[in-house]
Amino acid sequence: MHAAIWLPRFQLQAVLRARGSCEKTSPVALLDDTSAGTKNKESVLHASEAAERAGVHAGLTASQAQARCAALVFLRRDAELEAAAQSDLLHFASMWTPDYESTLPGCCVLDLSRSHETPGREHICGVKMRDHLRGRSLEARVGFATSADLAMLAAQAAPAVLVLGDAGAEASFLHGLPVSTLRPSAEKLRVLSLWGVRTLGDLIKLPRADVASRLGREGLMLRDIAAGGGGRLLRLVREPQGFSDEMDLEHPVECLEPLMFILRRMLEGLCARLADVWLVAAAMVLTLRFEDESAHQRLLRVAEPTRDVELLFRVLHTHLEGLSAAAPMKFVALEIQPARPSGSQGRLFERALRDPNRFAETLARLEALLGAGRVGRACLLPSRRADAFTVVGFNDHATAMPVVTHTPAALPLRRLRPSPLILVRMIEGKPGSFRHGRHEHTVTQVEGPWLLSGDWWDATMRWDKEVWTVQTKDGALYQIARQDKAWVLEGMLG
Amino acid sequence: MNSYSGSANIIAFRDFLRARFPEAHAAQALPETRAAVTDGSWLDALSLQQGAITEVVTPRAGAGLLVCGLLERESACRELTALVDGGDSFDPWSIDASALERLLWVRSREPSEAIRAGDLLLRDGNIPLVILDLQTHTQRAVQGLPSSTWHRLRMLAEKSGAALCVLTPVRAVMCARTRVRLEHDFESMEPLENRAALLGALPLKVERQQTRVVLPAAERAIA
Repeated sequence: MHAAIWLPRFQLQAVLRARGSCEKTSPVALLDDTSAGTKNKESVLHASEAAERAGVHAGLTASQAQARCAALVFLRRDAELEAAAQSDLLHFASMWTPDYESTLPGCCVLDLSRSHETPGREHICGVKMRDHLRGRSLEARVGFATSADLAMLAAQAAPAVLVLGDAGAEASFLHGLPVSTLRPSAEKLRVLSLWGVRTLGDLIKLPRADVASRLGREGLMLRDIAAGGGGRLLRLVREPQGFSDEMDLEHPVECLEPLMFILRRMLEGLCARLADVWLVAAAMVLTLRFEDESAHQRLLRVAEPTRDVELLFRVLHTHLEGLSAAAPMKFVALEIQPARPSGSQGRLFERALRDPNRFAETLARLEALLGAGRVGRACLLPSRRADAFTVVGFNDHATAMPVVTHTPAALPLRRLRPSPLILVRMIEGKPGSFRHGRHEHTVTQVEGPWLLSGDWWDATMRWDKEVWTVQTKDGALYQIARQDKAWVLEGMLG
Repeated sequence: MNSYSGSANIIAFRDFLRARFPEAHAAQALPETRAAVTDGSWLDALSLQQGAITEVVTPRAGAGLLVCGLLERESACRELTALVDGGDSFDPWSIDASALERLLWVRSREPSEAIRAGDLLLRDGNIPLVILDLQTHTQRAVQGLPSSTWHRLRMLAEKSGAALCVLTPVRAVMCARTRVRLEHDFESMEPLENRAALLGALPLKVERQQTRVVLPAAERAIA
């Protein structure tokens, strides 16, 4: 047995229940903003019973509705209120059965086949449902039937609660319903109207194959529902499953071993849960809190998603090895971000990594050894300033960097970082010699200057310099630059 | 008789060591190393081999040019390359974008840091060519590195099958399979337009070229 709960004028109910009961008896119309773009006029989506009595109905423009009812109050749709009302409806459904479907806004279908209370007491259950929802300021209609689609039709046709118990009752109920109950598209409704098909009884008299050939998939679906509906499976609402574990430590932890012991136990549990649903870990979020109220949180990506405990454990271990804290640890939490295991094929002309997870671990070790920003892939920045680049993680393909096209010079520059200050002796406006530390270099050839500047639009960042290439007596080529009246040795060419 | 028994003792001792420390002797079971894919005479002169160390001694200029050439080399399958930049002197603007895309840049300041980084990369074995650039350090700093360091790196390279190219200002890697000396000075500043021509003109002098011969067990015993 299936039960369908339908909230008529759902969007209007959602807005009205937030505004209190004072407007429920007054003529109110809900304007639909979504139609404003097409017709350039807002139209009435729903009208309250009082407004309907005054002649206002869905589809009228605001001015038409106002002309029919001068006291009409206009309201606008509110997505947040609609979501809250739908959430309340689904929460209520979950109290009856774990198997329920969020079919439409303001409508849900419950599979009560596993319920022991419902059989034989459908009407009483329906009344209970209505009363409960009324307590939450939601007016509902409830329909019971053997199939989900039929239950929905019953709910829409019901004055309050309608139970279709046997096949005979279902058939007689269906035959009298208008075709518009099935909510066909405007085009199909027009065609059916031209054919003189007014009720579902008329519709099921048409041969199924002919309906399919003339009205297509939608027509076939409408006819099947009119004939009692198939035994379609519900798209069950399931809470997103979380893969996280946390622990408040009774005795603060000061060293790595006990923490790793705890993390291994957490990983084993989480990986078992991942295995149950055929997922793998794509990333881990490790959160640590210390007694001095400081916290450490880090997202650790897994290069090749897996649920291998040993491998994930090594990733955690590598990260924690390089971590030091000022106070003992009092809380640890581990969350796994799951992903579906997927096969991948590398590019034909690129050699794939033998073991991506091991490589990611090596990169983490290198970063721990050398510091952040000193291991990875160099990305050029669109500037002529010296060292205009940034280093991003080697596996961090998500980082969006501007693509800088450039043609490298024939002779590479081996930079000195930071560039040391030098003393330059100018001869006839050109560098004649320069002194770097204790070494005096006599210049034999010189090229330049090349005047470079940038960021002129920003007073705090603007820069300009003149760059010279000089060759010394020993044959070496150097690049020197004068910036802010000081000479620096930028590096050696070659 | 005495010499025979002495040889037998040595053989027995070697077998004992091999059984006791199989890890240390695993490299001897490796097949003949094969030369990495190359695309030019200068690269052929370097004779980069998988599982071996190539040392390039460059007291003066030319090291940067060689590094860029190695990074921009064309291989059959676009291989990744790791550059352990011992003096943090590499300029990313000096190579083209495609080479930059497949470069893992490791920036260190001290030779000891660079050695540890190279150690980690060779242990990892995912990157087929590791360039360890110590050329910008002083001769004293490079020669101060213990020789056991280089032996360890050689064994790691043999085990992982990666090629290690070490650039030094002075001869330092005694266990290098190949040692090339580059003493280059620019005579003038005129012909600095074409990198390929500059690379081709580098005076690379092969000082040492070892070819590995793996003897059958019986012959090894006789030897």
